[in-house]
Amino acid sequence: MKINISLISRLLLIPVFALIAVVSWPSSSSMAAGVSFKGKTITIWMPSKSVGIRLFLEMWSGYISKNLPGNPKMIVKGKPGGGGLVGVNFLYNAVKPDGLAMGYAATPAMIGYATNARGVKFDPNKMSVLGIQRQNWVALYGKAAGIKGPFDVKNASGELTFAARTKNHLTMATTLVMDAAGVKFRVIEGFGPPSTMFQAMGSGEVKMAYTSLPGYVRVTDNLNSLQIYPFYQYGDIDDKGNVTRDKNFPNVPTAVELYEKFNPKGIGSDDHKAVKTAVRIVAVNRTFWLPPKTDQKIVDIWRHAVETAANDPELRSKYRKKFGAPFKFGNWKQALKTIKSSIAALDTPYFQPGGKGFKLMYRGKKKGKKKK
Amino acid sequence: MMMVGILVGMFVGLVPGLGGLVGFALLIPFSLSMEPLVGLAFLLAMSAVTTQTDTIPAVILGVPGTAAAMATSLDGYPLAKKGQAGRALCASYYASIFGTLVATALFLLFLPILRAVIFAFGQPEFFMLVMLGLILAGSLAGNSLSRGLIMAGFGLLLSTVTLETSTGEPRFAGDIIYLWEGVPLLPVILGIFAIPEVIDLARRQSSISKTSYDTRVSGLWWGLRDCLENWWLIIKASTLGTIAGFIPGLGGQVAEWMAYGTAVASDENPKSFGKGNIRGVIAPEAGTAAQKPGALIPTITFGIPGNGGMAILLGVFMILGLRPGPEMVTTKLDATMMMVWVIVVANIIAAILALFLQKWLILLCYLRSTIMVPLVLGTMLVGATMANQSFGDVVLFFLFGVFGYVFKHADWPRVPLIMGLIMGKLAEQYLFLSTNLHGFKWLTDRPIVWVIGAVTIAVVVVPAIKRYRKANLADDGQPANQSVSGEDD
Repeated sequence: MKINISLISRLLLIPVFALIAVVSWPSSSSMAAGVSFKGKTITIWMPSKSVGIRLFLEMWSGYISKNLPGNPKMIVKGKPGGGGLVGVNFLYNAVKPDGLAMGYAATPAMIGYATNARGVKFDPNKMSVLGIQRQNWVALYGKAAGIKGPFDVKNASGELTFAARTKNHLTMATTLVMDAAGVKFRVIEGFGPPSTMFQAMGSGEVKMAYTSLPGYVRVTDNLNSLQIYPFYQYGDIDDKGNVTRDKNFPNVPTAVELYEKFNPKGIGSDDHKAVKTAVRIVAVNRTFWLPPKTDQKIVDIWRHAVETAANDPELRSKYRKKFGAPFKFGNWKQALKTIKSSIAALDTPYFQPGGKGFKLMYRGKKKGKKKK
Repeated sequence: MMMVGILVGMFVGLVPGLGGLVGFALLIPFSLSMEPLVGLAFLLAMSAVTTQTDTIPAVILGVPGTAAAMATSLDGYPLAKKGQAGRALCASYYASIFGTLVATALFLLFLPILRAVIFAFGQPEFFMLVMLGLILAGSLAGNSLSRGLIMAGFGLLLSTVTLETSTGEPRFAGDIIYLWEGVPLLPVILGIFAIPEVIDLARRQSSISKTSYDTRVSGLWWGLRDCLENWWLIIKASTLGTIAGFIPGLGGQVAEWMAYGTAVASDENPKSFGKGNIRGVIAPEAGTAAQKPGALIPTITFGIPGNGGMAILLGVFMILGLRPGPEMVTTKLDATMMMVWVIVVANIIAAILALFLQKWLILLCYLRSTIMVPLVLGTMLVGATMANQSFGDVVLFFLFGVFGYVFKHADWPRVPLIMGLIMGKLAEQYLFLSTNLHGFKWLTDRPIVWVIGAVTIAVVVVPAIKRYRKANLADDGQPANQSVSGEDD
């Protein structure tokens, strides 16, 4: 009997194809039907070179994976550049919206969007926002300032120099507070990371600087030995939108408190509102998101996983131990509220070209084309 | 765990383009779950040995895997061509070990005045030190001072392509976001050094070494003898390296060039540098190695990192539970000494392991070009694109490869260009801050600025005076002293 090998091969192919179709069915429907990330690798893109952030993301990703269906493998990759714009532009424009990539946008990128800065190729309104990590910042003074505490600032010796990387919302708030106190004050731009500012304060070259609150908490003893102390904190935003003292830093006044103390008549003025806006911008800090057009079902799964992971007591305890401060996480609803209020606050004439806030936040001329 | 750190450090140092940053990315996640002291030893060991193995591609291929091996490649590669790669490599390992030992001794000696030293320097002093390093590189790499300085100027110009320091506005970078962080160093450094060597190797159709392979010459004792004969040079180079490490923000490049400059200045035959003088390998290796323990000190005592690598380590140290502060050199001195010894021991172990590998590594010098050309080109291209993974890296790699080929054959030194590119950002930052803080008074009111300025001027002027005197002697009918420096200018 002649065996038709070709026919047999074809017949055999039918069940093979059928099997492939059955096996691949869940994934080809974009995982939306029975979403599972089993066997997949998820990439968390960080638009920064920071080791601290990488460590935090490595730590958090393990907990996110636990809460995603299929417990995927998670890796952290860097895409730094352009003050954080490269990474955000990349995730927004070049990564497939299949739920296998997550990232964050930091404050400068968001300010960049709000002021139509060059190089911004994303729209926060179209991002699938997952949550927000808030972070407080603190202004510091050194021995060269010649003051005994924040309320003694009017007795400062000579001009108060404030070390900064560049003019930004933090330097704007400090300038407005110092103006309110009637103190001679100057922002010295061009410094590197906080450690370079501490060196300059230790050598007496500058009198003030700023750093993140967790960064301050981790090196408090060292800074005390260098006679560097907290001046004020930028503050937290409560549910009603008010600026409050950080619960973990209750003895240090906020920038808004100082402004109001030094210039009670200025309450409600544009400058007063600008100090509050600066705190709102500080609160944006890191916004976690998935690329636009991600299937809503996948977004919902991610939002749940991210929030559950962020509230895991074990993670929070680990975070506090490693980073010296609590992990302040806001869910996607809080994140959207914070982003929208910050962008809206910046979309006023005070912060657009020609306005006082614009001049205090930027030194450049090209930045901040009029918003359409 | 320290051994794992050493092995990873050796590997990332050996492969051009990887370097310590990749090492950190690989190891940091593992270090998080370790006991703090174990984690510290693990990361420090990795970081300590990268600059020991980055000498290997610099000597064998003429391609410095990191900027810290540029000075070493100037004399190391010519030695390899003469069939003395083993000698150069061994000398570099021993110099590294001696350098860390000298730095440890100096640390103990400097302990009482550490604080004064670290805070005596401000932005103007940093600026002057950066300029000193740049001018040393410009004047020492190559045969012509003027060409060296022009190339350093070209490097400085390239460094201005970035976001402007204080405003954050793109400068000469337009809307090309790839260039906003500045011209990336890796594709430039690998392109400018590797491609000319690859082209020459392909044209020559021979191996790197022009001598026949001699298995008896591993260089083990030869390198040791070289180091022992030059013990005073090692002490001088290590002292400069340690001091450069103490001073925050300077990095290994300045230490390396200060050390190389010392070797040239104190040699009877300065003209032999760049052509395979073993002192040109020993001094920069000792200086760079000594810089690491030096940089550790301000990092852990004042939370002020001595260089970029230490800035990363500081972040990890704090997360592992180490809190920087003056008590690190008082009540917690034992922990500090433990870290210093980790660096020393890691260097010794890495040197021993490298010596075992020596025989096989040197074989690369004797492989025929048809094997070496694709091997080197492929490795370098991967290395060049490792950090950014961007097509721009490929373009820059080949573009600077063409520049490198032209510069090499027109006898324009390439090292000062790289130094200008690296130091440009720092120089701009410190100059901007100096003027912003002190106006122009920083030029008149600060004695340390004068001292560094005087040394910088001497670097340029002294060789010129020597050259003038030599020319006068020749005019008087006396034979010219061949050992006087700078005679090609």
